[in-house]
Amino acid sequence: MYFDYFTVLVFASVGLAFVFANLLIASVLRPQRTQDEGLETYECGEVTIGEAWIQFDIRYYTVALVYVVFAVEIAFLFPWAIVLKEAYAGTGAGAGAGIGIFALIEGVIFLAVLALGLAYVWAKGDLDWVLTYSAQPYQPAGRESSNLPLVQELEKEQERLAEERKKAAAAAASSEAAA
Amino acid sequence: MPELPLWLVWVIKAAVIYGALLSVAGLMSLAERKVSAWMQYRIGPNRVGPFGLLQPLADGVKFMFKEELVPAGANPFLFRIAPALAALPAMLAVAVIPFAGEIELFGQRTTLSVTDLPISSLYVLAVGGLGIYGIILGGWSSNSKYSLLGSLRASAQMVSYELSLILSILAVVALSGSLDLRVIADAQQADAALWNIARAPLAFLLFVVCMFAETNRHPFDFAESEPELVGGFHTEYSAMRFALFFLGEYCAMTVMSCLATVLFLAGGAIPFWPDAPWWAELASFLVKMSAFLFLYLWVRWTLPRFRFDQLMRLGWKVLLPLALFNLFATAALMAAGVL
Repeated sequence: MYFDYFTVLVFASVGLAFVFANLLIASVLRPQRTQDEGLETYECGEVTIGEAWIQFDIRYYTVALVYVVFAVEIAFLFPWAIVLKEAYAGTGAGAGAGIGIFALIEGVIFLAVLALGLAYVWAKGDLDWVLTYSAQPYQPAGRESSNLPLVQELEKEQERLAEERKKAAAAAASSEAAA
Repeated sequence: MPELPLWLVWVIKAAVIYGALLSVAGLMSLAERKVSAWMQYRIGPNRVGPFGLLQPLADGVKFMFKEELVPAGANPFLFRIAPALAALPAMLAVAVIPFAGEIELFGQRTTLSVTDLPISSLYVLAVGGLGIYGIILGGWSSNSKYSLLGSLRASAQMVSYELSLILSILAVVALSGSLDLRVIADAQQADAALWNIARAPLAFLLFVVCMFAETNRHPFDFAESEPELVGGFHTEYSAMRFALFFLGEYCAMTVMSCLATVLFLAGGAIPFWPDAPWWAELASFLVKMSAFLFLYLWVRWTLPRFRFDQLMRLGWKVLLPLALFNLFATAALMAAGVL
C-alpha cells in the first residue's frame, strides 16, 4: 500500500522539477533592465501611498473559525459515510456491517448537532458579511471629519512631494547655470 | 519489447499525464479566448498556427522572455515562492484521477492513472486545498492593496465553499461505500441509471456551484475581479511567475472537471457498451471533461458577477444547509432502499 504513496512522491518530484526548471530557464533567458519606477507598488499610475501591511477589519476571522469547526466535524463524517452501505446491507467485513438503521440514527444526530451549530452562528449574525449597527443609526459627522488621520497623512505626503519637486527643480536650475 | 523497470514506467506515466494536463490547460487558455470571441461575435486568435492552435505555445515562449519585476516593498522570498505553491497542488491533484482501465505498457500491466490510492477522493481534497496558500501568500507578500484584498477574498470564498463541496462528495461516497475514485466510477459503470447525476442530482448541483467558487471563476471570480481590483492577488506578478498562477488556475479547473466526471458521470463509462476498450473509455472521459470545461466558459459569458456579500450569503445560508440536508436525505433514502 505504501508503494502507492511512493508513486505519488515520484509524481510530485517530476512536478516540482517541471516548475523550477521553468523558472530557471526563464531567469536565464529574460532581460533585466529594471528602473526604479518599475519597482513601485502598482496603484493605477498614482504615487503609491503607504503600504498594504496595515491593520484593518478583514471581516473574515469568524468565517475562518466557523470553517475550522465544520471541517473537523465533517472529517468525522467520512468514516460514517463509508460504512453506511455495508451497515444497511448487513454484510461485509467492515466495522459497521449489519448495524442497520442504527447507523442512520447516529448520523442524523451528528448532522443535527452540526445544523444546530450553524443555526447558532446564523442567529448571532456572524455569517453576515456586511455589518449593520441597528442600535446606533449612522450620524454623518460635521467639519471635524477632515481631522481623519488618513486625510492628514495624505496632505502631509502631498506637501512632502511638492517640497521634493521644488528641490529637484532648484537643483536642475543651478546645474544648468553652472553649465 | 524489452521489459522496463517499474520505476521507469512510473516516471513515464507521470511525464505523460503531466504532458496531457498541461496540454489541456494550454488548450483551455486558447478555448477561453476563442469561445469568448465567438460568444461576442469576434474571431479570436487566429494568427499562430491553424485556427490559432499554437497560440498557447507562443504565449509560453513570450512568458519566458518577459522581464520580471519584484516590487521594492514586497517580501522577496514569499513573493518568489508563492506562484510555485499555487501551481503545484493543482497539478499534483490529477495523480489519482482514473482516466481509463488497465493497459499494457512496456511489459508492465498498469492502470491509466498515476496511482490508485484507496483514499483518492480525500487525496484530491487535501492536495487541492493547499492551493490557497499560494494565493494568500502571493497576495500578502506583494504589499499591494489590490493583491491583499484579492487574496483575502479568495481565501474567505474558498473556505466557505469547500464545506459544501466536501458534503456533496460525502453523499457520493455514501452511495458507493468507498473513498476510492476508481471504485466510485466503476460502481456507476453498469447502467446509466446508476450514474450519480441521476441518483444524487442535488449533490451534483451543489458540486458544480462549489466547483466554480473553488477555482475562483465567474460568477465568483472575486479574487481578481478586474474592475475593482485590477488583477487581484496577481496584480504585481509578471513573466514566468504570473504564468504559473495562470497555469495553476487552469489546472485546477481541469482537475475539478475530471472530479465531476468521475463522481457524477461514471468516469469513462459509455452507456450500452459495457466492455469498451481503454481508448474508447479515455475518449469518453475526455468528452465528458471537456463538457464541464465548456460549462466554465458558457457560464462566464452568461451570468453577471455576484457581489461579495451575496457570495458569502449563498455559501453559508443556502448551499451549506442544502448540503447538510442532501447528505441526510441520501442516507435516509438509502435506508429506505430507494437508492
